[in-house]
This record gives sequence, C-alpha cells and structure tokens, in this order.
Amino acid sequence: MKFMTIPLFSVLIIYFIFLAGFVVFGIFNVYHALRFGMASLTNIISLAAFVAGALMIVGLTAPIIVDTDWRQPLFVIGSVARSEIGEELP
Amino acid sequence: MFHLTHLPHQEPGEKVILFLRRHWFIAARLAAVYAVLAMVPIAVRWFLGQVDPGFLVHPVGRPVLLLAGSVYYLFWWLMLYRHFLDYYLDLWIVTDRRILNIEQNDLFNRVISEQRISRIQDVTSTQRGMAPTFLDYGEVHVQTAAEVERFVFEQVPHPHQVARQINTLVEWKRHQHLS
Repeated sequence: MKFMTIPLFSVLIIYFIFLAGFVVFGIFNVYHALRFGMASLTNIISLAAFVAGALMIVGLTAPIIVDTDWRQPLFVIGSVARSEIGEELP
Repeated sequence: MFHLTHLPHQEPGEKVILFLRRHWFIAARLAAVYAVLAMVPIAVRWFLGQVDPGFLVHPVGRPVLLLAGSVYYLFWWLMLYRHFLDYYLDLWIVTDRRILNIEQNDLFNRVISEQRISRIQDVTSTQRGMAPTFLDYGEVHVQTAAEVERFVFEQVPHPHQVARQINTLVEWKRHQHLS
C-alpha cells in the first residue's frame, strides 16, 4: 500500500507565488504612474487607491491564512491493495 | 511625474493650446467591464452553494476557495489599474509651436512623437458609430510632410472643434512665416 499525501500548504505556496507576481507587476504599474503620469490629483488618488485596494485584499485574506490548519492533507494519491473479497490488505 | 509647464523638450515661451485625453466614456466602458468581472467569484460562490453547500464550509475546500478568490481579486485589481494607466497616460498636446502625441501602449512601451505646427499639411476629424455621435467624440488625423501618418488623436472629445483649432493654428503659423 503506497500513499503520497499532498499537504494543503502547497496551495499556500502557490498563493504566495501569485502574490509575489502581483507585487512585481504592481511595482511596475506604480513606477509608470510616478514616472510618466501628470502631477495631478487624479494620478495621486488613483495611485493611493490602487495601493489601498491591494492592501485591503491581502488584509482580508490574512485571517483566513492564520486560522487554517495548513498541515491537513489536500488529497492523497496512492493505491490500496485489496483481497479477493474486497478487504484492505496491509 | 510631469507638469504641463514642463513638457518634453519644452521651448521658452511655448504655450499649451489643447490638452487632450480619450473621452470619459472610454474609461466608463472599461469600468463597466471590470464591474461585471468583479461578480464572477460571487457567482461561483453562489453556484457552489446551490450544487454542494458542504464544500463552502469544508476544512480544506473553504481555504482553497478563499485563496482562489483572493488571487482572482488581486489580479482583477492589477489589470484594472493597468488599463486605467493605459487610458490615463495617453495624451495629445497641442502647443503654439508643435503637437505632441504621447501613447502608453503597454508596460515599458511608450511612444512620444512630436511635430512642428508649420509642417502640418492636413487635419481631418472623424466620428463613426452611435456612441461617438451622441457623445461627440472621435478621431483627429493629422497629416504632416512625412510619408506615414503618425498622429492620430484617438477617441478625443469634440474632434471637429479640435481639427478646426489645429487648422486655425496652422494658418496663423503660415501667416507668421510669410510676414
């Protein structure tokens, strides 16, 4: 009987990879707004709204991350040997 | 950031006559699309609630679903801001000396073209479609002495007035040169 358990924290790792990608592209967007945008209220407000919105989304996700037991198995891959009458064999 | 008083290659005494962006309807249309896209995770949650309510409270299913929602909304927010910048950073500026075409095509892809007013040969304005006609926005094509037309003011408000103003400026410049 062979099992491979995929833990739930693998999903968390994938989430953090996406989050890192978001941060990188977010910085690119902020750079463009600061470098090429006009020195106007619209530009400053939109930039502040973008950063605030991003922090809000991450902030709303944080309690979920903290409250979850990530050691749980996500799913188990493996086969179980069975006898002729369907009993699970060790 | 740049100021209208500090344009690229600004000449002494140069005055800004027109400062144009795309019509507000273009931004509103974009906002409407993103408003619909914001409903997708809510619709998915509702659908799962109908099909398998137990999944929403499952100790594994719930965090996976919430993380997927978080990723969706982060990228939704990122793309919304990126499209806003695409709209906001496209500028067309007409001064008393030249026209400037500043277009942000994508991240790290910015094109700035400028041409002297005296080199403009023809200015044409177009309005095609129901929304452009009712809301009075369209394109202004500026043909210079160059082979390829490089100046198209896209989806700008009051295109006919803009074309007329540029033509007036061109005439004024010609008279200035002759005198």
